Amino acid sequence: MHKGIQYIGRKQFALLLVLSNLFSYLTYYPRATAGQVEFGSSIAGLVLGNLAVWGIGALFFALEDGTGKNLCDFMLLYNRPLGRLYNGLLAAFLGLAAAHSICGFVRFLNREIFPQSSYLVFLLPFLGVLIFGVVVGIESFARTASVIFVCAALSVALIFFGTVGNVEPSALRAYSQVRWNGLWGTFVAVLQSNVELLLLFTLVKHLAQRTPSVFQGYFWLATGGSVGLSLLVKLALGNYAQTQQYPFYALAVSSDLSVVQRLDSFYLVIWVLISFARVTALLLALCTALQGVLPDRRYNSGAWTVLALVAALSVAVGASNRLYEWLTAVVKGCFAPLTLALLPLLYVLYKRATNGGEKRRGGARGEAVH
Amino acid sequence: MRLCADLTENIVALRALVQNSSDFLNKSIHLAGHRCELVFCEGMIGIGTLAELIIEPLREYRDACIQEPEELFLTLGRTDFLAADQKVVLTREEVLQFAMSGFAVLLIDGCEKGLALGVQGFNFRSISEPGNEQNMRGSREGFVEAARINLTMIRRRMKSPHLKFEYMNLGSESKTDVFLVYMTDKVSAKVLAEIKERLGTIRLEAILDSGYVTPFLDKKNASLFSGVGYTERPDTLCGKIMEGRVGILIDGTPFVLVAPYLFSENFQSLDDYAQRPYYVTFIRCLKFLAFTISFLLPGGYVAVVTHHPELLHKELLVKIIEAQQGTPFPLMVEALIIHIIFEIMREAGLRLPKSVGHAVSIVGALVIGDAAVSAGLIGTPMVLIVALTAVSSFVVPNLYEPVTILKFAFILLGGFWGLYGISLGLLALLLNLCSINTFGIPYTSPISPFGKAAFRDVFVRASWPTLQRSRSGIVQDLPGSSVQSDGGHGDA
Repeated sequence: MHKGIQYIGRKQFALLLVLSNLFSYLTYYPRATAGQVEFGSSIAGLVLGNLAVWGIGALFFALEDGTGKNLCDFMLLYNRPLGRLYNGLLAAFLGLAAAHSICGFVRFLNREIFPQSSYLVFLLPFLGVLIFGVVVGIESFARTASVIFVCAALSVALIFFGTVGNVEPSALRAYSQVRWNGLWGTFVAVLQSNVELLLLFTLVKHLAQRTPSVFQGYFWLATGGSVGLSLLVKLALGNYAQTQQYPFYALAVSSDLSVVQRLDSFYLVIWVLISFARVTALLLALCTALQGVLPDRRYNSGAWTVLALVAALSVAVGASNRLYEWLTAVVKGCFAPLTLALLPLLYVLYKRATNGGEKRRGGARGEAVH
Repeated sequence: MRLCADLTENIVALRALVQNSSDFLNKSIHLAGHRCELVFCEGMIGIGTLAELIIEPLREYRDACIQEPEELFLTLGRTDFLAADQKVVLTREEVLQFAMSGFAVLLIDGCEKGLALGVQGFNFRSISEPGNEQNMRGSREGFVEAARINLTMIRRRMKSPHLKFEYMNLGSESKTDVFLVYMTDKVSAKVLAEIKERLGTIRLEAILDSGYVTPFLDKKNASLFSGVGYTERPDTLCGKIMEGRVGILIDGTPFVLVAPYLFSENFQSLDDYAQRPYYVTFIRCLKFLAFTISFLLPGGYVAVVTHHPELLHKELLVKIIEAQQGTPFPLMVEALIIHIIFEIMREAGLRLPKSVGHAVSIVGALVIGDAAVSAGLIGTPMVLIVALTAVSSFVVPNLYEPVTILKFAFILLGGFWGLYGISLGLLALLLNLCSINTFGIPYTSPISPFGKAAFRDVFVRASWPTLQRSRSGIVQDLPGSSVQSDGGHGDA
């Protein structure tokens, strides 16, 4: 297990975050309890939600000289006991998020592609590849993610060309209104499901050049991609999308390039790659957070133990719908306190510590003068 | 052990060291009243060269008046022997090493030093076209087993003062001559030092082939792919060292190792730089496609037919079902069996004497092509898959070994998990490729990390005027590299 620092490029980091964000749309499904949201409201909520994510990321970078120290180290630096507690909570959350993502992907496979097989047939080999991805380290993983991004872009392009013939622009007219309820609901949903912030906060220490522009690149790609895909689903499938468990998969299945049909199995290959990118990023962030909790000599055994726990949790949750819904609620509920509420607190702590340091230095200067 | 002043004792000790081997010869001569011995190995020197360049000039000193053996040694050392290669030897082990390298060593009674004179005359294979790297355009010269002849082939092509050869000796018993060759103004000092350090860890008794050295250079690499390449062509090696790489010439093998070596280089050949860019771009893309087909096609076929038949066109599906109807084995087992048989035939064709080699192709055609299908053991589409896979794997011969293993792995993955298994296999392969670092340079560079400038020579081949505008070819300037270009500090 890699323990030290491995550096990756800004573009690699941004692509990694975009892939993680893309995963959310592949395995998104509308809840049975959710009411119908106007399309205009959902797009507006999407854009505003991503803007808010960008704002939080910018605040993070502003915390320390515009470079943004890794959140785990930041907390340890200013208050060690609190920092260890935070790192532990963060590691726990990331582990839960990873298990949630694994189960989300396996459920998608089980429902749409291989309904006759047991979920364990797909889960266990997937866990094996994930562990391999963690073991090789973030540098190799980032290089792999760059290749996966090219494949993902190619598949999105194929979906676009395969469905653009079915687009009905008139479908937009009925849903062009923007209502406050729908907008706010979508806005909150975007924030709740955005784990990329935590990936940024944790994995930023591996950036060779830490600048805010990395998050700007992620913002534009993620927002553009999500808005584009949502538009395509609405325009191509219309009301049919609301009846599907996985609207984006339904879009892919409906794509037809005339010369090649039934590309859904090709998309399956690509989506396995994207899911791997998402979960491995979460597991690497988990390992990074663990470095702030465990002493050096116990890091390796501790990390392997935690990874085994995540795997066991995935196996358990995959077997039960109720457990999956519970895990979804926990993951979405924990996000806000860990990031939205915490960042202003951190900002205050940072400012206090900086001002305290300046006062001490000013006092010493005054004594020297006298 | 150092040479002593007593010549007889030296000769006795040398004979004892070589166990009185019959190819170890010594010739007595008298010079200026002192007894001398010329020590050499039979067959390693040219007898005519010895007589003309050494014995004849030494006659002048037969009746010379030189009192001290040391003075005689110094006089002979200053003499204009036509053997340009002269070295002073101090130990018995050095005497043997030089004698076994084609030198004649002159020992003088009363002198504790010897003079090694280069009069190599051993036989070696003549320069011919390399068997494994054929080109349509370009030279027909390939490296030979004698490392010193290979040095001349490189020097003839690179008349640059920056071209440097460094000699070292590997193998405690074989004492194989090894030369590092590089351009001092392009190589990275860090890479060079790393290569020397890794070569220094070799403790083998004999180095008989470049393959003995590769694992030591490629250490901590558990992948199917190697970060050390090889070539038989001097022009290819010159191109590589101009990119800042290091060549390792090993005496006894025509295969010269090249380090660092990247994944994209497997798809490059010297013809690419002699032909038109648009054609070369097409050929490069074809090679990447062939590589993908060679390891993915059998597994993909098994996966699609077994688990995802809905992907196939209706008519094609009917044909495949008709062909598979009577076969006794599941498709995955059929694929494994037929590919194993193919590998057996291929290996047999390599090892059989040439006189009976044609029988292998006849048997292969009968066994795989006709008898197995007629007997209903395998389906006709599977024969086509094997043939296409085999031909595709020969397009990129450098990658034949990993492709063979990957082929079987993907057949198993496709057979058990369908396209899901194929995608997991692809993931593992990608991760493995991206995790290899060869001397501080990512193995998949400039594909990943992506490098725009260097990309001009991977999937596409830009024209020479474009290529010459940038230093994109220097290997340590590639994206993701953790070594810097020293630009002339290779000697540091």
